[in-house]
Amino acid sequence: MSILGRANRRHFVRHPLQLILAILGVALGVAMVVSIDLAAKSTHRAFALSMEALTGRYTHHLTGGPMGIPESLFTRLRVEAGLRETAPAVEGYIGLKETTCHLIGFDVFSERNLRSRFVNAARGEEGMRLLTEPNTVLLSAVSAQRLGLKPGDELKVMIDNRPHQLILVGYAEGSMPPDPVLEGVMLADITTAQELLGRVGWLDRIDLVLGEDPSLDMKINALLPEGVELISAAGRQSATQNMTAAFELNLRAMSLLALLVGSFLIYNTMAFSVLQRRELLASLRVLGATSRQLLSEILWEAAALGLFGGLVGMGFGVLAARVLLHMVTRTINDIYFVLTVTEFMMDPWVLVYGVFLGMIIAVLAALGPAIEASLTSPIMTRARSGVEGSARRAIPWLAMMGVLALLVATGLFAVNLDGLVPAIAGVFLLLLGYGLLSPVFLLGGVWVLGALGRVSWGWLIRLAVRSIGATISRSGLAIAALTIAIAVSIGVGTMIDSFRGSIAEWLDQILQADIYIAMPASTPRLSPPLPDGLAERLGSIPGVDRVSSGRRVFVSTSKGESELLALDPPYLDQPGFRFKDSDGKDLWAHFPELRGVFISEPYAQRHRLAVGDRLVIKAGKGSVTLPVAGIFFDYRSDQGLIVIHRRLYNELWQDPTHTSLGVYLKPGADLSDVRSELDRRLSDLHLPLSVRSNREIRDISLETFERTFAITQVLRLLAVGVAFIGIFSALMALQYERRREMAVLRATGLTPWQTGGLVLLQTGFMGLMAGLLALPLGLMVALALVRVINLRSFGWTMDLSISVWPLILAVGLSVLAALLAGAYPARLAMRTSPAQGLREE
Amino acid sequence: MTNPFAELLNLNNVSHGFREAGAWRGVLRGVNLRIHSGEQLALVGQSGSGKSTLMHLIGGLDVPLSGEIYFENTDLAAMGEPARTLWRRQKVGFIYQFFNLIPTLTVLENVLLPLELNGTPASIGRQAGLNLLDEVGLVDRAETYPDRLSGGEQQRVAIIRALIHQPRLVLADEPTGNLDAATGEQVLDLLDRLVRAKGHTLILVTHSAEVARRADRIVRLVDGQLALEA
Repeated sequence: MSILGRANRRHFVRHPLQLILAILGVALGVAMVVSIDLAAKSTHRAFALSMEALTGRYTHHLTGGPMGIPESLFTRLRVEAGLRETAPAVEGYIGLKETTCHLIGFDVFSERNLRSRFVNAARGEEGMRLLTEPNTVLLSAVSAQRLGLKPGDELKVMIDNRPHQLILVGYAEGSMPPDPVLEGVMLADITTAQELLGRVGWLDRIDLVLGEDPSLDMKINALLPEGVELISAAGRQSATQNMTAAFELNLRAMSLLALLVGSFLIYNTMAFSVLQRRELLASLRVLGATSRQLLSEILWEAAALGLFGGLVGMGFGVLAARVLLHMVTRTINDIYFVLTVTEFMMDPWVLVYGVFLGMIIAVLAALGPAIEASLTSPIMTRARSGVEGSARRAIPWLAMMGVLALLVATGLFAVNLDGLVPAIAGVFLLLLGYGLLSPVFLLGGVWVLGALGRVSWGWLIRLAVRSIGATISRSGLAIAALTIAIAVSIGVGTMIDSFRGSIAEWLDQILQADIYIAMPASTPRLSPPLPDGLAERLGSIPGVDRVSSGRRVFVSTSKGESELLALDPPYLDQPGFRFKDSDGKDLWAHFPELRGVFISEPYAQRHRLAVGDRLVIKAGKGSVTLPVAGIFFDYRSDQGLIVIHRRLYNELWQDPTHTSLGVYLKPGADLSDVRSELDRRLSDLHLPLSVRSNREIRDISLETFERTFAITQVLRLLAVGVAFIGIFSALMALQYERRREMAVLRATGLTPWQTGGLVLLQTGFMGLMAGLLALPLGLMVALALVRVINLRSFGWTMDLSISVWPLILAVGLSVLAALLAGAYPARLAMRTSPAQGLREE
Repeated sequence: MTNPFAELLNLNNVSHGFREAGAWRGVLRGVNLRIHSGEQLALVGQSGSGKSTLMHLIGGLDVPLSGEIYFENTDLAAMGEPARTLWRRQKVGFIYQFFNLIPTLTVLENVLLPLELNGTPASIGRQAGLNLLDEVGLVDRAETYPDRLSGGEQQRVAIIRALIHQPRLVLADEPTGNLDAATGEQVLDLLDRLVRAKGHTLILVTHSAEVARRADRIVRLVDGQLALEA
């Protein structure tokens, strides 16, 4: 290494804590991006593997119908259409020990001929045992190994909350080696699966291998009953994958936000390291080092810091990704679909990209300070006032750029652009713009606090506050970084509170019945119907006023496969939904006569539908076109929901079954008495019914909500953690710079405690300023997240609810973080002898 | 070969000043000065008389607002900053009151830095550096960091660093201002010996009449203007 390089590099050797903090800052930023990316990639792969386990080499699937597909269709396809390459499937999810397995009922003979993924299982001796022995299953070797199971073991499983006993007779791979694609898959003969899942006579899917012949499609379509659809395997996969796109984009945005905070930290570190070395750099300039040499030295240094930080971050990222994968999978399982594969996937590209990102961010962050240091003349570089002077001169320009960034951000929010990316860019610009404006606010705050210092017990305050203003080039950066981190925390926290509030309000509105009864759904798409006559049986229980019914099905529409809910609310005076454009009283009052649909807000948003638009639905008696009569707020799914009245559903589908019942009590009736009687009557049915009071449903829903946002909370805390390291690093550097000033003050008569107090006062003020500045920004971020990002991501309109306590806590957190960060520098200042401080200069 | 009596520096009507708090403050007013190769010149004057500013201008750290500074017929003011930097690294050696050694480099590395900046591989310059350190009695401190040295030792290192690349011009700004009388005397002896032995041109800024008397010629700066003393 050149002597010039060594002269610069050893600055960090002499300040190892700063070096460690800088590397840690880059590392945390990179770790967040890498962990989110790895978790996302792993879930993608899990999804692809889960799909592959299902689809094998099939090219098409038949799906649909309220009950699924009648078994007879499979025979007709084989016999009438002569399609030999077809295979029926019934599927559901069952609990085995602590895991969920994907139970697939397959036809051993069909699979044997198809060379599908299950061919090895079908051809082996174990396949034959599935046919001949009752309650026998095969489990993927990977899962069996993980759960410590071997062939011959008895499996205690839960299906629809009912315990069952199955016998493991072999592995899903047959005699072949373990196949990760089959992780979480349990195979049974189709008849066994139908019995276990309560689907006798029905299929969930028929898989087909179709050639290029287009007439085949027509031939098949002619045989299909209403509601059953032929779809390509690729189309199905992409439709399912699209469901989580917005969720993943949000996660990625959160990780980039963390990286933004991280890059502020890197900028901070590099700016400080350059500022601290200005005398060294000036000496080098005097000795003949060119601007370009110094520029390249500093940039190489930043790249090396970025590389080290990136490598450390890569390690952290891999560790964190394993935790995040668990959280992401749980969220996807809660709100989208069940992923049985939970294998962690190490994608080397993500790691390489993470390290490069660290380097690029570090170099970009160092560019400004490096240019500043290399272009200033040696004489100016040497003068401390020169640095602060140019920083102060830059403040109006930074403020102007900040205003510009805020204007562009406002424009991006106001203009209803397609997609999430402009909205996320808007949030970034909002943070950046405000960050650039923060020095102006800071100087204002310093003036106000300085004025307070004049009237109260002041000289120590004046001293502390003035030094913040006098070191704006360093304190401004630290405060901006902390402001952004605290604001992100406020913004995300307020968004989550608003979301929770909206969901609680929504649950209160939709959960009008006192008790709800349904069959637990073990299949992904189908809710099993309740027994006939159950509504009447429950209606006669003393204390019960009325019983309403609901029917939930998936139907084909002009907007693709959609979830439809048919309702017959017993009371028409109080709307069961909150409608978007009206109070809904009139709509609800005429609901029974309505020949139209209500759609949920996410459905309207996703498919760009408005009141008055028309929707074509494939009903049992052919396609019908129904107008959209109203749009209601709904948070149960971001895929959306169509609601029609039960009368219209019966007319269109001729399907009298229910999937849920709502029991309304008479005024004054005792809930526990009714519940006891209800449980007694239901126990006669010997069915695994789910009976829950509206309070229980509300609690479970809110619990799911908290689980969904657990990952967001983790990222939010990480962002604050990065900012804490940033402010700690900044304060360390500031105190290092001020050691002569402290020594002079000590020499003049300041006690060690007063010196420590001065440092803490200064850092406390910095924390207070950052906390106060973060309040408006945090609320702006919350507004953007609630009104723009969430609306565009999931189609959910929420009310912004602002609570005062979290805001006070955020300011407190900011002050506390700053005081904690200032504790060590304060201790150092107290312990440094004035003689040493003066000698060091 | 360089003519030892040739004119090295020619300052022609040099003026300079600064804007401070919105007001203009003139520091140098029409300074004319010629310095010959190998000459030792003492620049004296009260604080604020413009000595350091004149040194910065002569050393190419800054350019005058008006007038010309010719170094061997090359106008420094007409050079761009990068060219002045390259010129400075080859032709000028600086010695400061506060030594300004690079704290992150060892004594030997400090000494070798100008050679390296001028493209001389450190392996070649190393022996020359060690010889010079030996000459000033600091060879056993070659691997020590500057903060372990006394003021006098630091200034001796600074002198070697200023001379190792054989600059035509050595600028010393109060080289003894931070040292006690005896140590200052030793440092000046060393500087005098080395500069004269190698035939460098020396411009020495000082407050001390005693120090100034060692020079071939003394010029005094009064209110930004030169007054010849001897």
